[in-house]
Amino acid sequence: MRAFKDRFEARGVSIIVISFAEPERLAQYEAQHQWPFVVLADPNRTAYDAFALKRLSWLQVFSPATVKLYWRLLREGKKREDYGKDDIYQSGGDFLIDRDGNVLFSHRSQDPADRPTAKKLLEIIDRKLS
Amino acid sequence: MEKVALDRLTLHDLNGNPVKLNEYFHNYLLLIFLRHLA
Repeated sequence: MRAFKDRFEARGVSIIVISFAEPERLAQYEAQHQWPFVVLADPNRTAYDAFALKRLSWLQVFSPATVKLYWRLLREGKKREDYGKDDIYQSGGDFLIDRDGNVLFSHRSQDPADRPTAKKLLEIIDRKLS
Repeated sequence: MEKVALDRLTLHDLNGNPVKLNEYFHNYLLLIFLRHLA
């Protein structure tokens, strides 16, 4: 995603990463990962609710796609980092919005492995903004 | 088309200060909502 940041900005798109973690916990995470994006906290999940991001079922959280994803990450040597107790059932998502709050593109994850790639997002942005 | 009242949403920066999404616009925003931190 980092490598794509300039390509998003060239299209007039700023990236904001939002987490439901408390700001203090999120600051720890950010210090570790050094994301080149603005990172904001939504501990009351008002934005999650406004964008209709629901809680996933047990079957969605532990879907075959999720197991496959975590197996791949383990094989790549990634370790799970502990940032405290968290809600594993909250779904995530990706939204392209304009200044008036119009949602030009939405993707609500159906399981933890269900996220569009940066390349796919750029293709969608090019289509939507052309 | 879906529409969200951005001015009604208050989020927090990493220092815990309240912020509005409107402050971060270029022309468009791509909002990436995370799941848990791991």
